[in-house]
Amino acid sequence: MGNFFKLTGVSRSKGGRTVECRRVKELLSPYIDRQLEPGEHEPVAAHLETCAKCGAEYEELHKTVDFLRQLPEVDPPSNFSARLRSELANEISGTSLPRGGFAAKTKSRVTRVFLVAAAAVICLAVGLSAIRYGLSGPGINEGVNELAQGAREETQQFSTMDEDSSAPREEGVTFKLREAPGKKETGGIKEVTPSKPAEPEKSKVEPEQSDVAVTGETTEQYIDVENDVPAREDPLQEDELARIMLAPEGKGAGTESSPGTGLILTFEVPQDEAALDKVEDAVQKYGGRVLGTGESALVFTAPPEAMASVIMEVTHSFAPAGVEGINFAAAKEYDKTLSEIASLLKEEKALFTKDDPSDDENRRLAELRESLEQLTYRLAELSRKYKIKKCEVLLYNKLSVKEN
Amino acid sequence: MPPSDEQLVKKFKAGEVEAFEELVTRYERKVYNLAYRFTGNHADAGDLAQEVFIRVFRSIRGFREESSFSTWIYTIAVNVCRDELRKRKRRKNVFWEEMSPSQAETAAGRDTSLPEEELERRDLQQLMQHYLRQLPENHRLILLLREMEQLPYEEIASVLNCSIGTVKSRLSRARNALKDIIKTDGELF
Repeated sequence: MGNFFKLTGVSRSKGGRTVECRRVKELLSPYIDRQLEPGEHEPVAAHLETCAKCGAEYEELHKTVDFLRQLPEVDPPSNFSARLRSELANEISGTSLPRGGFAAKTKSRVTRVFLVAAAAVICLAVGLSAIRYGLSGPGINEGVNELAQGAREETQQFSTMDEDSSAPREEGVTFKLREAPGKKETGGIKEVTPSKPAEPEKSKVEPEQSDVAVTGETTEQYIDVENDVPAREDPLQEDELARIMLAPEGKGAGTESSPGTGLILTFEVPQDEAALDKVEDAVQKYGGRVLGTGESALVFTAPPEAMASVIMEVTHSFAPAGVEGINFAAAKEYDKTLSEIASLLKEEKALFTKDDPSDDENRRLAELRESLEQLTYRLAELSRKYKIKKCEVLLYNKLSVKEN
Repeated sequence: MPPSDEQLVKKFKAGEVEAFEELVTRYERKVYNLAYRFTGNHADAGDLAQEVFIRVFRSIRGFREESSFSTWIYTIAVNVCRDELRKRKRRKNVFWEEMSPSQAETAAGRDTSLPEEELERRDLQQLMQHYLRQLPENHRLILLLREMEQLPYEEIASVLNCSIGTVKSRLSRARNALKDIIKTDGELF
């Protein structure tokens, strides 16, 4: 002990603490870790036994360290593993490795390995989702069931602000308000139309389509993960995933060179016919195309300019589960807008379906619609700006739905 | 006996692609947790963790194995966290909070069906995350590497590219800074 403190000298300082105390304080952290130099440990231990102030200081520091060490690992979200593997598969498929030889072989095989792994994890994620959301069932949005009745019938149901389809449409998104059955006032935001008419022809739409990914079991088409062309051989279960994850524009979220891309939007939708119909109707209404529906998800594409409309319509029936992407600011902004819309829509629906609304409630309804209109314009702007590439519609497992 | 990380790296380089998947499986939770503790929210943590593995994939062929794979991947993770923070500072957009206190309370469960112990554990989790966010980046990172990942001083020195002496002194300052924050708050002691 003598040698150790001789190095620093022992003298009383103004605050009642000695130089020894100050030196000990510096050594407390490595002392906790038993990382002191030979000859330092004993004198520090001895000092702590005799100096109450340093002893207390040591206790606090030790507790601080213990608090951190006691923290349990956090569990990543249930879809993290699947998404990670999907992104890696995208990354691998997007690498500019020379064809042939080790590199190309590696690329192809790695891609396959990751797709299989992702498939397993997605199945698990959907299973968990079923447990978490098992109490919600179909019919959570009974008030909007008409959505499933198809675009033509739906349009006829509404008194619209923009009924004349030949009239030039405003840039952006147009709201159409429906007339409530048995009520004179209009109510219920029901339809959002894209700034441009939806273009259903595959040849025109496809190059600009955004990819919307949903997992599933259908295997009607196999995409060669390396060459990205349909192939007939090897129609394994992961083929659907290959199509989803390695879609033509699927370079993966967050590449620096394309900050506008890569947002992944997730909805959670019960797996029943009516719910799927709603999603499919919304997609088709705006010129999108359903590529396939499987056990756990559904895949569709839509022209970028129509994506906001599709999303709005799906949001009307199903709460968005979140937006993710390497482009944090974009994801945050999108998420916020979408959450606000979902929340306002809920309130709007409650007021609209009320039998005998008060004046205040009618005023509130009008306010809500105005806000919704603004938010939808914003959503459309964001969709165009960030070009949503993927929209995962995760379906509740069948177990979560009433037996039918 | 399962193969070591280094054996897996070699296997991958030799063309055994399953080895890379195994490495991802081994480290995804660790990397995710580091990112979560650094950013304080799941959305950012997921994105940063993805970025880490993408960088690992892009550079693994050039990994010369002079350090352990574990050190190497932590180095990449730390760099990804720092890069992101730097980008955000330029844009004056720091990591956002996971939840508001009231949301956190709901999510962390003022659920009376949970045992008291579990509630306390969640409270501590929230509280420590809140304290960690108040630390400067360098302090936060070194605490995560030491206390959460339990890396030895030598490995921390490699990851942070500094001397062991720097690790000791920085860790000491970080711990004391955290202790002072906790003390000022008065919740834990």
